[in-house]
Amino acid sequence: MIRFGLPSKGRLKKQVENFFSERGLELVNAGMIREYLAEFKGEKKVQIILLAASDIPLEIKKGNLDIGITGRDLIFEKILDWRKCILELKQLDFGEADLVIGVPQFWIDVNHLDDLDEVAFFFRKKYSRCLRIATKYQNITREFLIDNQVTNFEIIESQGATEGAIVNGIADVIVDISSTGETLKQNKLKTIEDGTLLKSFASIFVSKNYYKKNKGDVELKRLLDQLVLDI
Amino acid sequence: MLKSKKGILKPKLDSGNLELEIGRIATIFKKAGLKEISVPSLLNSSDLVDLYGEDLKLRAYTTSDPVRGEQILRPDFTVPILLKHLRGNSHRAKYFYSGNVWRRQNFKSIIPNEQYQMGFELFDSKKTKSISSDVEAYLLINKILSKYKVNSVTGDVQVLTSAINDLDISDYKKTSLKRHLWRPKRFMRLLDLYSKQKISGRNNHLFKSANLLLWKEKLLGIESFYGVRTKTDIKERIEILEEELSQNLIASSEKNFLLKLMRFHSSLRQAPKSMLSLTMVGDTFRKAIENFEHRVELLSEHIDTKTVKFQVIYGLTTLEYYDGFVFGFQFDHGKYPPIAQGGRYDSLCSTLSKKGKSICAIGSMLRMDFLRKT
Repeated sequence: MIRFGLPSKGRLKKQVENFFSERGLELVNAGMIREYLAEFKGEKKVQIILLAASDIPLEIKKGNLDIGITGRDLIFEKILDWRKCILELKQLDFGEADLVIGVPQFWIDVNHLDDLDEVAFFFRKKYSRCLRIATKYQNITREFLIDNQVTNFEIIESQGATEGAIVNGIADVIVDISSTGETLKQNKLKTIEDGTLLKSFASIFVSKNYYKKNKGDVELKRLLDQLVLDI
Repeated sequence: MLKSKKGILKPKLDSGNLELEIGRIATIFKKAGLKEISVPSLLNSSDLVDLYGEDLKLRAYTTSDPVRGEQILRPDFTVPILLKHLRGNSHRAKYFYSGNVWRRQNFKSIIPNEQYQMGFELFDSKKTKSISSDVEAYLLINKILSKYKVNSVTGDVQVLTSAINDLDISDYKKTSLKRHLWRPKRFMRLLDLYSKQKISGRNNHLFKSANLLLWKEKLLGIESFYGVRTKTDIKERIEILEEELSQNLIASSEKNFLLKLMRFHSSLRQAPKSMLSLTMVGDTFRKAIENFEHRVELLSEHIDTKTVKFQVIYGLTTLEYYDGFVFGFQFDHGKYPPIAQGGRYDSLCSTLSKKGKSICAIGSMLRMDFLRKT
């Protein structure tokens, strides 16, 4: 049995279903009342498991899933050195989103990371605290800002509605996913020139361990061939 | 980050040897008049992040605790000992410590995630005692390691900061340069920007007058402000940048001097004279070299300073929070990371100490996992 993890809801779920139907794979309910299990029509060797897109990376790493479709942003965030245990089988042409820094629009003097660093330093001097950055993507943010020599910042964990964190007084700056920039604009936020942390999209990921052990498996080969097929 | 190469094995420890070595070193510390101090293994996260910045979380182990809030496994002894010392009433103190610290390591690193460290911190309220404490600290480690085949490298952050203080530029520019001494890429970017010789796309906007005028105009038209940063804060920053436009740039002779200084290395014995010959001798720099020379003279009474290496920027990227004399000891075979590192951290003390309490400090740690019977 091949355990295949897919996002259980949202736009990503619909796009994944499209992707399958283009390749002649039809998702059907597993026949039980459980809505989080499914299978491909006429294919008994693949168990489809529906779960939160953000849980897919760790489940592949732990070995509970053999294959999964999820956003690259989530793989980068959830698993340090993910290339050691996970194979990126195919990059998909949907789920596009950039992970960006958002600052208040009226911060007209802040247009680059070096500005952000200087403002963080002023914060320290004037308000005796670090610049607070709210994000769901703590690991990517921390690494990116340190790599780019930004100092005096503190990351505030935010599980959702991050774009509201500044107005709510929780943070001074945010790092969040933005596909069109519309949400940022609505919340009177702007991006900065060198403030794109990651250009993300959906990909098919395979557990390296599983792949090594089952390379010769005919069923797996047939499935992977079908998935990488360009339509 | 230290990487394991072929032929280098992770050190295997014989606990018997380790314990004997701990006992031997503790005896040396006690004979030198140091008192043992203990600090907790679990520390409050927010205090430390405030101090080190988020970098800390890349290295330290954090724990989640819904009751006490996020706790961090002690990543070093220096900061908790300093905090404990500051809470007490004494000004002068000599402490030694012995115990585990925990740090996340790169998967290739040969440094254990749980390492056993011994070390000491020497506190004094008198700045005048600094040089003799520097010497005391270096000689103490030198004595402990004398039974091993080791060599040492020294550095001095003060030499660099004093040279920056002598530049004929505004305090704003000096502060920025000094603030980023520990981040070479950023430091070079600032040096380029402030000397205007080569300006990268990333920061050239900072000093364009047209931009500043445009910003000022735009700011007038904005009505909606939110968050902690105020309109005045923004206006103030624009004014500072504007003011900077009329201020001196770093002269090319000054820049060349700084670059030469940053590349400088020699034997410790030779260093004071050679550094003075790099020219552009301002008062602060001359004073720093005088102190430096005094330290070398004192050390030369005990050891052959011709065999000790000196490198101006030694430890600048790895020895966080040190701001004066720094040193490191390494095995001659060169396979392991430095087995001892230490240095002066006066400005960390003044950041953390309450008003009216001035404290100077130097300390050093020993990586016990690499010290074995030879």
